[in-house]
Amino acid sequence: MVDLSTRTRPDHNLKNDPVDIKSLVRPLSLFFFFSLMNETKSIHFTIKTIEKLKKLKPGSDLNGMMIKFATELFLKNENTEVYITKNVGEFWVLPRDLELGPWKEFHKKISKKELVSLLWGLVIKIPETEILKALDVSQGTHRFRVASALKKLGSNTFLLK
Amino acid sequence: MEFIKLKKHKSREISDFVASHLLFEYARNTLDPERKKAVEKVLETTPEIQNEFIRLINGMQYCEKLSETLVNDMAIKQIELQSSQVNFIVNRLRWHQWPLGFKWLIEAGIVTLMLVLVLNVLPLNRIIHLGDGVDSQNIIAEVDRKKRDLGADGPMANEEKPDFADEEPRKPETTVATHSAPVAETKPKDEPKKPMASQVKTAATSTSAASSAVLPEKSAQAKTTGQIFRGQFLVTNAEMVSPKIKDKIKELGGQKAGGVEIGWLKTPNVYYFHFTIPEAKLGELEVLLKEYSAGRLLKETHPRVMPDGIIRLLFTVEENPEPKGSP
Repeated sequence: MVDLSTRTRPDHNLKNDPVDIKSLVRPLSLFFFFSLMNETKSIHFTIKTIEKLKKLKPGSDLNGMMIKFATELFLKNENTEVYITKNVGEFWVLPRDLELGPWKEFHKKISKKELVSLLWGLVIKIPETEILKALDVSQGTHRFRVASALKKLGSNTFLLK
Repeated sequence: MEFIKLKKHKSREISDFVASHLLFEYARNTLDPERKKAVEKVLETTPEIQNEFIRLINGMQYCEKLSETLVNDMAIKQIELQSSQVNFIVNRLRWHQWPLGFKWLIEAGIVTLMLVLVLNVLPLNRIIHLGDGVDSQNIIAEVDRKKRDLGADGPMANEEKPDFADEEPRKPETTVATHSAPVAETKPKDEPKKPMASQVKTAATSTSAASSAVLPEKSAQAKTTGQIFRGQFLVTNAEMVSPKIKDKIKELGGQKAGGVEIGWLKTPNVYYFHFTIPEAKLGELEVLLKEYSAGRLLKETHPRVMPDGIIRLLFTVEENPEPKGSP
């Protein structure tokens, strides 16, 4: 069994001053990269979200707004075409034994909402309470989406078979 | 979190459906001991749930690996730099991915377009001659407005056409009388030999009629300011002499003034010369003409105003019916 509770994660409880905005680049770029599978587009969407976050009043819940803005932007994006990433190594350093093939296949089966829940919860590892608040969904819905997405993703990988 | 305990008495086992939905919680180890046992029991007995659990674990492990992905520092810096709007648009166009030749082509196109726009919009001619204080336009003819206003009522007041019309050289009144209006009317307009002469005749008759009707001749003459040199030269062997005169005129810078060429063969043995020439060259021309004929050029007033230094001449060179040598 995998214990996710013990895993360390970066502190996202930041105020929206220019220095703190920098710490949002990683989660945002990862979210857009894995959701869009298009490096150029993910950079653009990251910049766009950061620009939106910069306009927020000081003291706003940056983490929650980051999830909200990024999710809205991704859901609005109608182009679901999965691009073959050529220059991944330039911007994103993937683990050595990781293959993106199953993830690309997973994109063909998954719904956007399930993908969003999975990415924020298990890939970027944002606390569940923040996700629920930002996405405005119940705990049960969120967990159901994550579980459903995991089963679909797992059917593409054969690590334990 | 409070867990609701399952019944101990007549306890029911959880169904596969419920077990399936509890798998995620089971994998995360967030179930209470009782439900954990119940799920484990189902997992032992049901292969479908086992497969489902394996898939779930596979997925979680894959997500773990995805979460280890790092973002390059260079990417973070680039994103920070590109957060301006202009860079965002440029990147959206994927400018950096375009072929170099194509980039240069577009840049050259933009520069050319801007140049064309600037050259069209800016009044460069005025800007260049701004320091001169003089308008760069060449004055070909200048009309005194006051004088023109005086002649506004005259018959030629509204004639602004620059082209010169060929006209007959002024002859004695007896000959003019013979060439009166009916001649022009009887001949067809497109007769090749005398196309302009016939038009002039009709025009002359119509204008003369109009002038006589509107104003007396004296007032019309008083208001004309231009001048014309007219003449009639009787020469021996006009066929040979006429081209020489024509060549001389061209040499002196003469240019045709009417619809026909200089030295046009009007009728057999009559050559028609209607042209403009610099005033300074008039003497040379008169010297040449005196070599062949005793005729003279007479200065007359004319409604048409010529530019300064340019004069208009109209004369004919005709075969002398009585050569010098004959008795």
